[in-house]
Amino acid sequence: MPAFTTLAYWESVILLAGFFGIAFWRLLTGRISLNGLLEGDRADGSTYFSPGRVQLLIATILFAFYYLTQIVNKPSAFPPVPQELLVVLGGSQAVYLGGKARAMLFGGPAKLH
Amino acid sequence: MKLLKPWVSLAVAIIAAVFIFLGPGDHASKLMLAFGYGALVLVFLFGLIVVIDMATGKIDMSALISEHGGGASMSRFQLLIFTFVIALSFFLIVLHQRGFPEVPSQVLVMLGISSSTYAVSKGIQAGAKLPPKGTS
Repeated sequence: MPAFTTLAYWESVILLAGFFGIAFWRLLTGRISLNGLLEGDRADGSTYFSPGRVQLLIATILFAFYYLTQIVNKPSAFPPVPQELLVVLGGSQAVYLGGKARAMLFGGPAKLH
Repeated sequence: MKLLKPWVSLAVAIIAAVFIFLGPGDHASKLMLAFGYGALVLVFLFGLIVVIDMATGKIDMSALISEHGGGASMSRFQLLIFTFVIALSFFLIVLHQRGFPEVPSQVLVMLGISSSTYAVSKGIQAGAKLPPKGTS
């Protein structure tokens, strides 16, 4: 029998690689649909290009990249998230939700189609 | 057939535990080790079943980040990305310090912000009684 920690390590690597690999592969090949990711909805069911979603996507990717860089450089503990970054993330979410509420309640920007 | 895989996993885990318990050493430490190996094998095999079912398409992931009416959800996508980031960070930290890490409050706040956005977004949708996408 292999050592307990070695076994736990390889099991974790296999399972995490499996979960992440399959999810990312399906995202890349379109089998997990990303259609409409940047489109907002109106209450009548029509859609429009949403800048609020674009800025939230950018904020999310930048935040994820920043955090992963921190953890790879110093994996001894969870790196603290700067207060300013949390405020930016919260603000970004507020802009997204504000745009969504506006579109739902007041119709949002002019119709594309 | 569906129920066979979990039972086979359980049987393999029990066999591994018995195999460890029959080895040399005192009973108390052997029992602890047998329980540990058994749990490790069981969790791994259950996880492997899920991974294999995901890979073969038995677990349908096509609507993983889709909203109720169709179309991808930004909040679900964000939650997926953050879950990946935190899970990977957790794994790297455990690997490095060989112990259970303390999760700082800022990380919980970050996940809380993301989850709250998802919940509020669903609330707005429910309030507006949104029909499926592209119906008008």
